[in-house]
Amino acid sequence: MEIDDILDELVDASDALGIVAPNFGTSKGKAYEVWIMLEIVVRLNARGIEIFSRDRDGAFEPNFRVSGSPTNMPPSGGSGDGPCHFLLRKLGRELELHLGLKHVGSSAASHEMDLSVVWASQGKALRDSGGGPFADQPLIGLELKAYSEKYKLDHSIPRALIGVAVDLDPWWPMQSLTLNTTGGGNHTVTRTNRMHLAVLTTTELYGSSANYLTHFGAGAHSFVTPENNVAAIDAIVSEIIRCFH
Amino acid sequence: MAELDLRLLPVLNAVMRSPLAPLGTSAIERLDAAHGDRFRFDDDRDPLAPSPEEADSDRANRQLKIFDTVIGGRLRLELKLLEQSQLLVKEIASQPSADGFESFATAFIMPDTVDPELQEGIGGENLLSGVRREQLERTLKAWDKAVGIVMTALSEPRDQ
Repeated sequence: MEIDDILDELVDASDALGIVAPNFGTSKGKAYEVWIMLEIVVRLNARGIEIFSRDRDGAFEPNFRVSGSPTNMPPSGGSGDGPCHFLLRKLGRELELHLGLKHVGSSAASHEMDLSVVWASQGKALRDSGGGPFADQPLIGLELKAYSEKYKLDHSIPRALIGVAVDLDPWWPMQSLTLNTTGGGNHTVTRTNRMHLAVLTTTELYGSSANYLTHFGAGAHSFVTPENNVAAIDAIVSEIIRCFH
Repeated sequence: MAELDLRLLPVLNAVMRSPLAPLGTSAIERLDAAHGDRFRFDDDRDPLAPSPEEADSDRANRQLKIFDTVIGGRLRLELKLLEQSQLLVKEIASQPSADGFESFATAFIMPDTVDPELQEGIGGENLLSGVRREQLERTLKAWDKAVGIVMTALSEPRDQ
């Protein structure tokens, strides 16, 4: 077979791929985000959490839609379009899991989280009031980056995540606060309800990036693919389950 | 600026006139970054030292590997993610639920998005369809063949 024939076949095949996957090459890892979401949902279900696919009106949606770009919480009303979410339920408590949701911080700047978990009551309240970026603190926020495994993840991604955390919760980097009295007594207050953030990537994090993230209590997970380090997903699942308690 | 081995040009041309073009651009950027790395000087490298020499065939093979890492690697990862996601959707659909999960479809559709630069809508797609999988497999097979034939050509002596 001549090289010209082989290259013609490559062009023909990728043209056909372009028809069924017009966003391939530009979608920046949407398939990765979807895979992580499904892994989380299935593992939550295996650990006793009820899972439900929901549209913007809270109705069952068999054709789960995800947005190709960062998006506001859609307003309720108008079923049949808009991104869907998973409703998670245990012991009467309900959470929502979203992909690509926009959040707004104290600076009024909006930030995308690749995957967010929020209280269902807050999600519903935002949809019922017309939608928009999520202004309350999420319980879980993940940065998901599908990069070629040969190259390490740019340090700017962990930096940006910590910056977003501070904008969403200015006290987020502080785990505890100790008050000293003049008489020498002290009292320490420790936070128990801090949002959990993490970076999951198909490639490797620089050592300094991993140290930077873990210093602030965020998760740093390298080589998370269907074939490697799925334990990182279990760690996230455990964090979500902790939110129910 | 990296100098591309001319024997790789036909493959790059084919990529750049296809929907794989964004990956071709990434591969060129990666190739250029790797080239710059070779001439970087730091505490371990004397800036006045002679530039590292590289045989033509070594350079061509290195460049082809970068192309395969970026383009073939992306196709392989996408296929693996799709296969695994299809299994997970089946697992979700098999769970007994009062909510009707037995009808949970394998359709994850990305609604129309807007390219912020072009302000044009990009068509939605079913991320987990069987036809998407088939076309990914077909493209990956064609890509592997193209890499294979270039690799063979690189192992042969060049015409003078």
